[in-house]
Amino acid sequence: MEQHIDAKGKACPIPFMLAKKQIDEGNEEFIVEVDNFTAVENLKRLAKSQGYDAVVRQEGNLYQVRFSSFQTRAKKEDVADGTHSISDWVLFLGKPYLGEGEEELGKNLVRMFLYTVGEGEDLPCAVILMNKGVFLAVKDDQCIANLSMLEKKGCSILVCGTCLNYYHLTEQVKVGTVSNMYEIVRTFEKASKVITL
Amino acid sequence: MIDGLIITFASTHDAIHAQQVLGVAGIFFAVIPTPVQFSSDCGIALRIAQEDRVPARQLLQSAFFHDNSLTDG
Repeated sequence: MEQHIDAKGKACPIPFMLAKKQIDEGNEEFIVEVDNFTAVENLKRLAKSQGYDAVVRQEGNLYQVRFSSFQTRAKKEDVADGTHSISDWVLFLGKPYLGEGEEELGKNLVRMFLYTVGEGEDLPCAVILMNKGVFLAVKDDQCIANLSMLEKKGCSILVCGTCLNYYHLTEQVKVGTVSNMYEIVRTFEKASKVITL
Repeated sequence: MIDGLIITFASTHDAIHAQQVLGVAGIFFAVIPTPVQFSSDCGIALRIAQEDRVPARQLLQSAFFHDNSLTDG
């Protein structure tokens, strides 16, 4: 019988951490009970990143997220369509422009950079946007289009939730998934290299 | 493979000025690196939709030239 984790009434990121603990212990099937939608979204992402299936059952304000690793192990492999592959490198953007100097130039450079990465053969497994870098997923249509293209090709776009909250942009995010420090740090830890712009 | 029309520039400042001109006119463009097969002094190129070719050409012509010297092809 699978284990039930009661994370009701627990604020982000506690449900995430409780589920991660189960995964780290090798538990292949368990259920996490939560009472808010943000936690459900975080748990689904955790499942995906760890090679688990997540099935959500909702009853009123309560959600049961069932983690199972049996189905997904085999199909995890390859999202490649023959023209590109996802590698374990990570792109980090902490500001909405590239380099230092004139912002106008820096904004053009970051648009071209994201376009060129998306056109490449070796794509990052994740693009992480923090601090004012989150503006790229909210206000810059061209970066949003370039990030969407990367996301469609299998790259995770992780947008810092704390930063969105600070800049009052949480409701306006156009691409990617709202993330937290735990997931971001885990992503860095697993990366073979991190490129910071 | 790049769809649409690619515009290259003699300088970075021209490329940025062209963005302002097209933006004011509501013509959508994408900022892309100048494709390597094109020779240009500037690394910034703009890609626009084929159907915007004529209005874009007119706008950029009046913004950059006072004669009819802008060529495309």
